[in-house]
Amino acid sequence: MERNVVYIAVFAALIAVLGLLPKFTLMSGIPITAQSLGIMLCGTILGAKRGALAVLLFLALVAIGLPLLAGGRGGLGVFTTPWAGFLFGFPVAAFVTGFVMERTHNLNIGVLATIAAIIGGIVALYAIAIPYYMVGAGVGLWDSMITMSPFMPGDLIKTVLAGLITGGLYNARPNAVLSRL
Amino acid sequence: MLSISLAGNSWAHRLRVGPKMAVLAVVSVALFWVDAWVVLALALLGVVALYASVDGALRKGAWLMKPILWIVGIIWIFHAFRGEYVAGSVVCLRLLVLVGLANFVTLTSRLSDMIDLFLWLLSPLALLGVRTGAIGLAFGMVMRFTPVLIERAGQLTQSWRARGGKRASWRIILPLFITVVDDADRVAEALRARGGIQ
Repeated sequence: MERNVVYIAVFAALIAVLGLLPKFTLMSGIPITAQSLGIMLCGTILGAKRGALAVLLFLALVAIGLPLLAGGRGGLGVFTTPWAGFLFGFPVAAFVTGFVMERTHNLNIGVLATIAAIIGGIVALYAIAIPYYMVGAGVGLWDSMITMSPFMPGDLIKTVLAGLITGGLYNARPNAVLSRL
Repeated sequence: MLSISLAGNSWAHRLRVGPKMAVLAVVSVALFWVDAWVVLALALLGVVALYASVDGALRKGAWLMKPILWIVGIIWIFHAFRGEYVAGSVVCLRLLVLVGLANFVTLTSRLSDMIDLFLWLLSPLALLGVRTGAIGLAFGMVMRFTPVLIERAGQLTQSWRARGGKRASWRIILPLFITVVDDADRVAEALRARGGIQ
């Protein structure tokens, strides 16, 4: 119990820290932050339930006014934009990622984490974010996809990083990867 | 850990957080039934007037709005591209009013009041068997951990540079996670030693 609560809290803090790391720039010149990498890692390392709870805790702290989103933003306003579908999709993304991790056993953990991050952190996340944007911004499916397309290469890179980091953590501290216990 | 809210004692600070949030929720939902751009433009003026009535709110509010302006601009361009000038303006004006109002509540509410309200809203979960004491504890831990971890990420970045790496990259994330899970195990042990989470 204590271990679960502390892990959920430190991972909520890690999502914030990853969002504040200096941006790394892709070849295409589009800056990406590591915040959504934090969401994926919550799922791959903590598993479905704890991962989703860590993300919910992070979002709760953003909502009450802590500047934890990338760029030091926060507050209630960020939940009212058409892009908020990503925020509401984050806990689901972590849950789906963790669910895939927990239900698959016969794969290398790094490869599995990348696959889980693609299913949870990209497929499930955009399945929520795109319809939300379409309704909020009043535009069609095609326009929404064009608007979001610059972020997709970065998200794919993050799924590979999620695999490498999860695999590395499993080698160094196998007991810390709660999704595999 | 500093909140983004403004220190001060204006009329908006003196309102209680619960009613303020309730009004925000009702107005935000009601705005979706308003389709006349004139009404929304007037509402936006009203929001600006709200900000102007509180010391320092205009500046901080504008800073919070900056990334939103990009979003608004892109949405309007996509609408304009299809000739929907009025529909685009309605969506964009409504968005500015929504975000502006929500940020105004955040700016004029103390963090401790927000936490209290949040824990109060979650308190019915206790009926379902959720240990709500753990939620308050987790809130405190995140606020305490975040600055510590930011500092540690900074130290790892410096060590990376000192060893000849040019720009700290994603490679510091794994060592950061390893130190953090070690800390987490120690904190969990310390909590158990002191009687655990009730």
